[in-house]
Amino acid sequence: MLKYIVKRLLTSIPVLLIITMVIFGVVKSMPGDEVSAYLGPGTRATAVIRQQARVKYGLDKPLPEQYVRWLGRTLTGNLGTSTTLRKPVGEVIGSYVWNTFILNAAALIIALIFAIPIGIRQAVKKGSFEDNFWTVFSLLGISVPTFFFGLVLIFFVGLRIDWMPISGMRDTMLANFGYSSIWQEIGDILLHMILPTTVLAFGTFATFSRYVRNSMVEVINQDYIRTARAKGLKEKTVIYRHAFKNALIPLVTLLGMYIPSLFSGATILETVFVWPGIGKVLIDGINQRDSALVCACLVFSAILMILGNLLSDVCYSLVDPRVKVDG
Amino acid sequence: MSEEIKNTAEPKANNKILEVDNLRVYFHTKKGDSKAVDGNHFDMYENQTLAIVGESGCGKSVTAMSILGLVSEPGEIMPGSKILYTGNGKNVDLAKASDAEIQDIRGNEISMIFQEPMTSLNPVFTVGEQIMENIRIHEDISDEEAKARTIKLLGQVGISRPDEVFNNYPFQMSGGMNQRVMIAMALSCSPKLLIADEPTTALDVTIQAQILMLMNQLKNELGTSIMLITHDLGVVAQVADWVNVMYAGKVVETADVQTLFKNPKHPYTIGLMSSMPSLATEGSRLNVIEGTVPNPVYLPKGCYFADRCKHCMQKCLESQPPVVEFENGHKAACFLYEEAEQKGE
Amino acid sequence: METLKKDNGIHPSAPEEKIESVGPWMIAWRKFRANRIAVAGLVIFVLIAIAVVLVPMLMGIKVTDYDLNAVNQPPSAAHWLGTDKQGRDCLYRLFLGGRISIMVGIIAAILTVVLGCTIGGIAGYYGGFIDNFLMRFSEIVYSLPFTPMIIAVASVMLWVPQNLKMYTVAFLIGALSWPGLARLVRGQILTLREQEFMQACEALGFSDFSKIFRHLMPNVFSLVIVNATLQMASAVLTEAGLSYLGMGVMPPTPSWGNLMNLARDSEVFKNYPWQWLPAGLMCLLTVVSINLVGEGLRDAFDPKEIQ
Repeated sequence: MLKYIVKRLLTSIPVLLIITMVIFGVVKSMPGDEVSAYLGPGTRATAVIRQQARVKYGLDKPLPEQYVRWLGRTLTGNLGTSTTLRKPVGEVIGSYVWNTFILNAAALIIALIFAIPIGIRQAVKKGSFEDNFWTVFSLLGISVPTFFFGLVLIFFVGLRIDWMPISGMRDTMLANFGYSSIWQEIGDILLHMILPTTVLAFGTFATFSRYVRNSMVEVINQDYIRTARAKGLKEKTVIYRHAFKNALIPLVTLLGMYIPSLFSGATILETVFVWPGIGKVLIDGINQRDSALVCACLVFSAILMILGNLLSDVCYSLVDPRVKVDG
Repeated sequence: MSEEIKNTAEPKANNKILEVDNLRVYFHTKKGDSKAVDGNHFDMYENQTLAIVGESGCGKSVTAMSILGLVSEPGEIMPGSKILYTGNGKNVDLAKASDAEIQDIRGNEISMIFQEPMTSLNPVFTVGEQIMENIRIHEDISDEEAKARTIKLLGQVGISRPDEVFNNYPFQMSGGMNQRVMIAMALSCSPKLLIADEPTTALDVTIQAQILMLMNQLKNELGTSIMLITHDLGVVAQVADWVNVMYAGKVVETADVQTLFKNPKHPYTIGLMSSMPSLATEGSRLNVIEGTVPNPVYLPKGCYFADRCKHCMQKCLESQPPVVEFENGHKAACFLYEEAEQKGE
Repeated sequence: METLKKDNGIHPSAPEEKIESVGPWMIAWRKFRANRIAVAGLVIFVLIAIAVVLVPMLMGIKVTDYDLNAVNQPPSAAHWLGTDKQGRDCLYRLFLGGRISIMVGIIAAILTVVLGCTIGGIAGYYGGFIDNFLMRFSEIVYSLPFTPMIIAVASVMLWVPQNLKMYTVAFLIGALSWPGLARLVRGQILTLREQEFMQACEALGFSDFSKIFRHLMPNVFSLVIVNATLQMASAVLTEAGLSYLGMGVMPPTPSWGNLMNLARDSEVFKNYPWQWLPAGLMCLLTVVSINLVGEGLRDAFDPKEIQ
């Protein structure tokens, strides 16, 4: 197993290398003046100072050379400095990634709590009114633009309920003057999470409930389910033990794919709710031509994507006794 | 109400364990009710092997499934059907029993093995777990005892190194091995009745013989009755005591196995016999029964076999054939023997 | 004993059982028609498509029409959905925007299908080095983080003239969406290639082009059409998100996305919801209907699904 993972990681390296080239190229060709971004907004710099800065940041070199330098620095752990936040990029990602994570993780947990039992019920009662209802409901979840659902929630709930925060992660007053206790801080964050989590959980619920339903429908028609019934097992045991354990295989595979993405931001949604996560930082970075930050965020997301694929294969081989991976 | 064949042959001294009376199973489809089983009557006795023979779609599997209450939507066991289980001093009508009652009997007093051993075992549990589960739900014994018994059962069904096989997953074994596991599972609670639905069809010929011998041997050891569902007359000849021949949801002929093979009466049975390849008919062309089984949604008014029958008469198209009884409980539903019977009386 | 011939009406009760040869397309179409939810989706989508084409034409106003005396008007008899801050009719812009959004969806879906089929088909058919190379390439594209990448590239392409912006957006979506389809097509072709009818094509000396596109592709068509439908739905969504951030279709050309972008102005958001809310609802309705059709098609083509 370990051998397999190592092998997969090694074969991912060339792919990742090309991805970094693409990303670097795209970021470098974003419009706007990079030197000004380095010097800071509103700085009136003479041509001499600008030239010095250009040399200092290596911007005078040809693009391939800049890339090699950037890659070299990145590999040694130096991700550069964010020009907008005036902090090392590593530090920025390190702190914002957790904001993204708690939001996504909360949404995933809530989504699963509802999606699994509902998906199973749908499969058991396939074709019933209840099944169709949840099918349409989850299609809504897949089809609604997340930011629009967010806007609607803010408009109809946030603006009408006094205590419901509609943006950010913490109350400005409380955050500035200090929380009286850790519990107050947690409570404040939870309060701010309600609306964005609802939006994210809806979409995630939709994806997973459909997945659970479809794989359960497939499993329920299998011969071994008939065998389980013929043994005299209670219908509940047949469904939740014999059928669900089989349906779990594709579900865990999907989950494996999903887990790394918990760290990469829901870009547009975070912007709508002004949630200080990776997605929002990335959009701000793009808007303000913060190339070091944008590069790092994009590469980070790409790595998570590759890890997701690997993890889903690993999970698959862990839960399905029929699959054996060898190096 | 037409007459229907009732199997009344009674091997002396043995108790009746199952009485199926007027069993009708309809599948409600958009085009109308599909009459998969339409008036089935038969009895089963202790330590008896009853074979139910017929082409695919004749209702033999549905009959088996309805005994265990495994007929699912859109199928329905029609009101008026009776499946009386009288084994172990019980008296339960399985056609009307509650879920809990049936679940208590399934796998315990009546168990079943299926055609496809490879897909009939759950792929994500070891075979040991699956057999143990059957024991644990019906008997109040500890894990260790259940495990010991499982390993013993695996040995009994002819699996070498049963303690290793205990931890195998079904996909790691051949079809024949898996069918042995299925048999071990089905026999784990010493059932009174074992229903075997085409147990050897998916297996190689050499393995088929082994499995049949195993079933026969276990029947004799444990005194279990076997209901063998098959389309293969060769299999019937090897193991059955009594045979019901089904056609389009009805039993058309019933007899003990010797009588049936020596002296088949119903044209359908005769057709089946002569379409069976054997050494005796080597060189000559196999007979085939031309035509197809009628659509169970649009069954004809007369005999269902009429349009494929060489001896079809006008009255065969107009009404259902009478049941004619011969010696030793041998019966056939056919107009051919009507006159003979009347003359005899 | 009297015996009867075969042809004298043995099955008097079964004549309505007609035997006709039914092709796979007919079967799929019948299954689709029997699926009420999917048919509802198709009807809704067709209605929306007709509406976005006809409504702006029938309203008798021009894109350039505005009325600075009637800005930010709430819905009224004259302007059913009110007006925006330049006094333009919101209903008119809503349907005009629909044209753009749906167009982007269609173009992106077509591009995805063309790229996915070509790359997947070639990889699956030729195998070996070409397959390896193309699949590596698709792995790279697949691993690029979709939304952030589109946003980043869109920001690079600011130089594109405003009126061509929608094509850029459609192109970007298509260019990043094809790997999933390419993999499916490749897998399908790999299995089909081993079957007898391909050996027959080989024996008859057909050209590679003819073998791939005339003999193999029809077999993956059901896969492709389902994928294209679902792809179109997600492209409409992506366009909306991109334009909402101001990186997609640019005003004055309306699209559902950039109409919702008006909500980023907190005054419009709070006080003039008619300017952004209908666009979101229309977008949602459209995507739901397309997805319903896609799901219906998937079930209809699935040989395991029996009605």
